Amino acid sequence: MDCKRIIKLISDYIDKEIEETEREIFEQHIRICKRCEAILESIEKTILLSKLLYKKKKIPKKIEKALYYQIRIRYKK
Amino acid sequence: MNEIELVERAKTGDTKAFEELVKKTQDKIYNLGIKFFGNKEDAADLLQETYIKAYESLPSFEGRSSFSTWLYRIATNFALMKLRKEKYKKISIDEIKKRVDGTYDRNDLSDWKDNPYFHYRNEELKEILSSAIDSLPLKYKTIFILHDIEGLSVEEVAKILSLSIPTTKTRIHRSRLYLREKLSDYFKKKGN
Repeated sequence: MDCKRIIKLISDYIDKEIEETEREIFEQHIRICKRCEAILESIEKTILLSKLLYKKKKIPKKIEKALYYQIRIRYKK
Repeated sequence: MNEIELVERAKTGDTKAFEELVKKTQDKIYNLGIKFFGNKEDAADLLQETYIKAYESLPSFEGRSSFSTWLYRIATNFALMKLRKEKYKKISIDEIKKRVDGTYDRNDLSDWKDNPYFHYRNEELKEILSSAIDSLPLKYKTIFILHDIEGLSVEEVAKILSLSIPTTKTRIHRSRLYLREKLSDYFKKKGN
């Protein structure tokens, strides 16, 4: 399998959407190809960093109150 | 009471059951709004519209997907409608293809391993990434948020957006490569 094919498979590999036989070939390639290994690692880091951009927030009380008010208006309709 | 039981009760007009479902999912939907819009006001709008629509459409909810996935679909549709009106400059799909298709051909492929600018607390780096996500064409941005940030599976994302699995996977892959390229540009700039 050449490098271009490996790069195409990177996301399937990360998402565990790759078939077993392809996964073995993919991992063998990554072990010996520094460039593909670097691309895989940088994509994994990009995803991780993206997750860290957003801290989970609780709904502010005011917004929560307005939400329930709007929902309850619908009950009467 | 589990989600399925609550949905069944809510469908018969049990408002307490419906509010229980809202309570269980409201933080998720609010945070999704923050990711799509980046501000509290629009996230609050998305929240209200999602649950009002959910309440009104509940009789037609057949339970083919989970209640949460169904909510995500409603919320995402609302976000897409609103974001389409946005004037924010997006990069073109052609540009994404051009950049990512050439990923391997570039000689200056940066190795991030020992890069002194890559660390998870580099605020400048986060800012670059955040703007890059915002500049993605909507169909890529939506998929990236749902899959890589929210953590929904490829199958769930495909269902929410009514896309085929191969199309969903292609867009996930291109978004990742594109964002990775943007971060690499930043490292190159810093290295010069």
